Amino acid sequence: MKLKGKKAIVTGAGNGIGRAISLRLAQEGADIILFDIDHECAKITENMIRALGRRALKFEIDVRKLDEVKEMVDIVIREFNAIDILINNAGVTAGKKQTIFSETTEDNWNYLIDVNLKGTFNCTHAVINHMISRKQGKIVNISSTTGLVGTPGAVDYSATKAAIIGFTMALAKEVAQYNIYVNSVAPGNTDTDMFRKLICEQSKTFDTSIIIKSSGLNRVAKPEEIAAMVAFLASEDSDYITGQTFPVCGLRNIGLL
Amino acid sequence: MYRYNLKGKNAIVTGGGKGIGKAISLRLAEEGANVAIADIDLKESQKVVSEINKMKRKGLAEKIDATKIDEAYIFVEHVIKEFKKIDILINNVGGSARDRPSLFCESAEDTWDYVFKLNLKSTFNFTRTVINYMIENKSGKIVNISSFVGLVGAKMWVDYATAKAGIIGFTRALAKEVASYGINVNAVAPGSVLAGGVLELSNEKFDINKLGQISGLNRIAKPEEIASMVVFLTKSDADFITGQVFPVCGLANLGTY
Repeated sequence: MKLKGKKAIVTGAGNGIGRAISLRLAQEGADIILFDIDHECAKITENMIRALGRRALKFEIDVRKLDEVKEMVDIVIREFNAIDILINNAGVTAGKKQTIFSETTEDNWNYLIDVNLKGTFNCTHAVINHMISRKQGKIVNISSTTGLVGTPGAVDYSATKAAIIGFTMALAKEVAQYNIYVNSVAPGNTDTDMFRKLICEQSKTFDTSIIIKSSGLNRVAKPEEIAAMVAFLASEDSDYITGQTFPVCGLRNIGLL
Repeated sequence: MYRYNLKGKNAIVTGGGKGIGKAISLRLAEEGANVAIADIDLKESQKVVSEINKMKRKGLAEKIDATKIDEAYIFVEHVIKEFKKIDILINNVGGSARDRPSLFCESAEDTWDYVFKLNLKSTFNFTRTVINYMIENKSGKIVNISSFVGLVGAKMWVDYATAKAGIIGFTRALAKEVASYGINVNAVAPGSVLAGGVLELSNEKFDINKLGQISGLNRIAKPEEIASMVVFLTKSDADFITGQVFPVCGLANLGTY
């Protein structure tokens, strides 16, 4: 119960990794504020957390909209008195439109930058002054192995996830003096709806078993395994860790030779 | 309720009698593991074993020179006899040239050899002795203690930097070899810690305040803060993590600006 009494905002909490993070933080004792564009999915996560006996509150938010984010964060601060933890997890691919760079569109590029990178900027910007005034805070950004080593067919996604790493390091340097810790986690391929849909789509054009094999562990990550690392970085156990990007990806970032 | 603990697991901690090793031994025991300590200082190790026993875990300690493979071999045989199985190996023995630091251009060959024996050969000795037991069990968690110096270097510590970087290469290559046996191999790269060599350094040679400042956190690490990262990597939570290096050094690996 390393997070007893803590209040955490988790973006993209409705599904996949975001849901797993929300549940793990709740299991460790935190109350969870869920941001998600999908109201129905967020409701399910909210119920699961309440079933654990923790407080949960969902907000239907599009993280691309700075004004909306700021408004909701102000409500959260009034409602909960404090925000201890921010998990910038909301992220997307271009779904069915995800394609190789030479065929991709400006729309794909803008969409991914907007949700993955600007969304992270928006949510962090909305809470940072609150954390500075309290002289404490834990921010964990969800990058990706893709941001460390790149993935063919996902140049735009790779760029946004690598950008999150730069954001993490620079912000960590700025706010270390306020006891605010900023780190990111770089998951490898993880068993989520988003990943399954992507594989389904890509299987139409090539043998996607190489994607599973790339971890070197004959499987993809479970969302709970990503959540475990996030929970570690959100707790006092990691009070000497900041500015870092921790991979949870098997051997994916170092190859199989 | 805490499903993520180490109940029933048996761990070897080299250099587990003092400093980081002691903190690791105690944290492993807190999380449920039985701990066997191989340390050159038997008296201190036995004190740690007493504390482990108070937590109702099994502990054993032997006076071992980790630079001698025969001693490692005998120790591991005793551990197998006593505990039947080895689940976790923490290669923590290590250190710098302490009272003999020098600029590389003035360095001595025997100091170089000593630093390699202490850090790298000791890691080889214990891992070589334990690995086949883990392969037979198709399971195991190995954590090697590198250093932020192995990542970014440090003046006066060329030998130490090389040996600690060597541990990283060892970690990655071994991880690839044994992934198919369900064995995870990772490294932790601590910053300056309030223990061991740093405690012994005189203020004329090294300024402890300066060491604290490079972390950006205005302090050097507590051994417990290294232990928490190490122990995280021994849990089933970390089953998808292998071949990686985890810096626990604040901002010390990210430059001075």
